[in-house]
Amino acid sequence: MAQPLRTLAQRFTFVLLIAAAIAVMLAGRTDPRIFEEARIAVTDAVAPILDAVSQPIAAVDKLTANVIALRDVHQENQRLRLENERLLQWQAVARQLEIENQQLQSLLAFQRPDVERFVTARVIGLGGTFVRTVIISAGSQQGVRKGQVAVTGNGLIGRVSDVGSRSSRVLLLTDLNSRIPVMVERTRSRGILIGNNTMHPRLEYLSANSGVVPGDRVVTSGDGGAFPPGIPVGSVARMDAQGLEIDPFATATKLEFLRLLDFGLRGILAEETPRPR
Amino acid sequence: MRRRNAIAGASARGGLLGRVDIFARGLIPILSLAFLTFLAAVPLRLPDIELLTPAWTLMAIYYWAIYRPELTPAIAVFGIGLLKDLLAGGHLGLTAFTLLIVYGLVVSQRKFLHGKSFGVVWWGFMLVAAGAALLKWIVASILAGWPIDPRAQVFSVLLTIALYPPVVLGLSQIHKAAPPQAGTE
Repeated sequence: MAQPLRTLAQRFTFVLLIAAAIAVMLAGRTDPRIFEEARIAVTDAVAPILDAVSQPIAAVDKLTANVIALRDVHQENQRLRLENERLLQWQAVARQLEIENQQLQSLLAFQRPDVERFVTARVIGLGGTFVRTVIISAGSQQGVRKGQVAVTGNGLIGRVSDVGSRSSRVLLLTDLNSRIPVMVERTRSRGILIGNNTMHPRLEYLSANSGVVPGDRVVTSGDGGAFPPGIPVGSVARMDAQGLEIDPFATATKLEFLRLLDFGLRGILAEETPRPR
Repeated sequence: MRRRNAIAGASARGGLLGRVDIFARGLIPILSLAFLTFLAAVPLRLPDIELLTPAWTLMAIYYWAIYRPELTPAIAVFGIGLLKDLLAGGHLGLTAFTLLIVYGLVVSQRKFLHGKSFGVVWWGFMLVAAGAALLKWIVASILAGWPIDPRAQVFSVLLTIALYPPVVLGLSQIHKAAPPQAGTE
């Protein structure tokens, strides 16, 4: 008896929710900042869960590396297998620590004298298919501030876009909304590195006849005052009529730790950046 | 609907405890959705592949929309979609919109899909996953102002389709813990 009525009510709710979703999208499109607080609150609340879940995954990842390494050792030492077994167990532990140590050391290798201070953070979350961001396990409590530069041992990876109290979001240089002033190190020609959601961001607005060849190193130019000059970004991979494709030195796949550098630059981008939408 | 279930179940089991138990178990589908949404945010560190995230949430929405839509009402789908968007940091509302469309579509076709062999249901999921990705890509491109490179999306769909069977195996296990369906369909 109540069936048709309920179906009608459900239909109405459904249409209302679709409309609400569209309204939220349009509101976010008009002013990407209006949901910033909700975003930060959710990220902060979920950070401990993500942190807990991402650790076993990192452990499995290391374990896979260990298993592959162990298999090779095994083949070389078949006759000594029994004798080595105990040592191999220790080796597994050692390798795990070694991988972690290497990763942390490679972060230490990226040192610059003009850095005011730095924060090292674990990557605990990723964005979706259309958003190239990572969530890290450090927030304002650890001294993270909006606009800080995120690097790995290899080079620039992105910039802090949202800061919660114990978690933050880093906008990767491959994201659609990422715009970074860069220059080709050899020719000093300047341009803007534009993320396009692929592994190869594009370098556009490059001055004409700049004589750039594939393989040239690209570094930050420091224009705009958001990034200090000279941070390694990547190398030129391909060239076409519109611009250049860049191979970033630092990639987010398998990223476990990153370091945030505070150069004390409160440039325009610290407040007025295109934000992840 | 859930309330009716609870009452029907409670009269069978009797007592407040039985009712609370039924209610709690009625939340299982929504909790599974939330869990898969968190999982989507965890870095899987797939070797040397672009940052790929299969649409974990979509798999569960599809499953529950076919088998127990009364336990995952549209408002829950909307909420899960918003949670996903807030976590991912993308356009707020994009996932909520896509998931709602998928949910509405699957619920309207569930008479056809319900009780069919796994192959048929999986085939249906392939269409749904591809359609949802296409819809999401179109809306995201409109919001971005230019066509986004679709490669990552294509890989994500393939990964999602490939991972559907194991995820459904898990979901069908926890489905057994959900309260039995009350009345007729």
